[in-house]
Amino acid sequence: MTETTNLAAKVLLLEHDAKQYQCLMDFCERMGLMAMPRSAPDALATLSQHKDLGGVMLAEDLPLEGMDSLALACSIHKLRPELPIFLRRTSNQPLSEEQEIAIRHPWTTGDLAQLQSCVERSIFSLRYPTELVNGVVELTCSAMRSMFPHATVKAESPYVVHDRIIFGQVSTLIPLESTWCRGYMMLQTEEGALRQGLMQGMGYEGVGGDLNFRELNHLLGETTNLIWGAFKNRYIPPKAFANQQSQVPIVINHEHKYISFGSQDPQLCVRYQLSDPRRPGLPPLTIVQRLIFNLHWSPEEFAVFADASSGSSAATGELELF
Amino acid sequence: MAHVLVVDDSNTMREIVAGFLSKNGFEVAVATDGRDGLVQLNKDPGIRLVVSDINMPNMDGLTMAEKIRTELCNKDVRIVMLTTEDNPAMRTRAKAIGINGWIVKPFRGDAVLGPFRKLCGMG
Repeated sequence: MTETTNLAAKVLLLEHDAKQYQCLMDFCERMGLMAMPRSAPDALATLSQHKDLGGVMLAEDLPLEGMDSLALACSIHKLRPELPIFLRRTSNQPLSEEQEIAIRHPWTTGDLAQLQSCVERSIFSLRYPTELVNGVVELTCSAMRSMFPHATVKAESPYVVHDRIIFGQVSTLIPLESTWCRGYMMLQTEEGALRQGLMQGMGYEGVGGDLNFRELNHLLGETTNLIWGAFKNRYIPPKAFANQQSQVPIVINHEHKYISFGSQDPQLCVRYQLSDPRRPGLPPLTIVQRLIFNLHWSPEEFAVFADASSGSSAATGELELF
Repeated sequence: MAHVLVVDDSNTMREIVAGFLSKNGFEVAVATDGRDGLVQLNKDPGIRLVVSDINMPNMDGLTMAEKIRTELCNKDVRIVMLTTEDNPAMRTRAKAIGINGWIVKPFRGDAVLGPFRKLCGMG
């Protein structure tokens, strides 16, 4: 069996009972959870500051003004539905339907085995082989050192997140496909910090021009490309190459509402207007569609395909019996 | 002065490679993908060495190299792939196309300067 790494995860801990607090802190340490204890009134503000959480633990009887713990749990769920919530039950009162949806992991006070099972099932639902985790960190550090030759690169301990909020303004995306995985890798960073690092001279001299946001995007894109290449060379066996297509990183800058697929070619764009026929005076909802054929585009081959299929389209919504 | 064409879709890589080569006595032209590489090469018959990435939008580096050898019938220009790829099948294809060299990124200028000079006939 493959050895897997015991990764960490950050959890927001809302607990007012001193005895339970200590018990949960010990539990977190044992489970590899990095507990972030906060008072209940600070819970929502803490959520907005930390975008890399693995879950939230809270007691049912937190002292709160104007709301109770269950309402707080529902508010947390509304803000970050991807975060599993572990509620320490202090009453036998049944949860409402809305509360049950928000609080996926209620557990009975004192039953740490139950809590452990919930944590393992939700926060640590995927196990990552040690060799893979260490290898990814190593090849990423190496790629970063080559792109930022004058910086000291250190990796913190790897951990798992359930949050889907993106860190910073600049991010990249590239598919990872092998015989054993299909997915994506992202790099996420803050535009200002990246610019500052380059101004301080972490990168290559003279590279990056005036460090406008496009230059910064390119730099993160190339770093992504280097990591992707090293990942492929190490973890994608030759037999997977038959289906391998070339890839380029997709670069997104949220601050500037910018996305690049690496090609300068024009993209096919269609705008759709959805209006309410009962309220013709209201402005319509606009949905924009773009088609980007950045990796391969052959209208000639399309013409051959279109001729062969001669305009027939698959019936939709109909049952086809074999 | 030896004339080199650097083909890479990454601005950053173009700047790193072209900057290094310019500082070390090469005259450098750049192209943003394989399709652009063919255009640049057609425009400038003085180019002696093409240093190209593989994974690029519009036209990848191996296809560009193949077209240089077959469609442009240019057997003289030296072609080196500078890529993240270390795939044996791609290397085999590259040899069959008539590509002269292969570098797995990251780019290390000090390691390639001598070989590039030789490929350009600079002694």
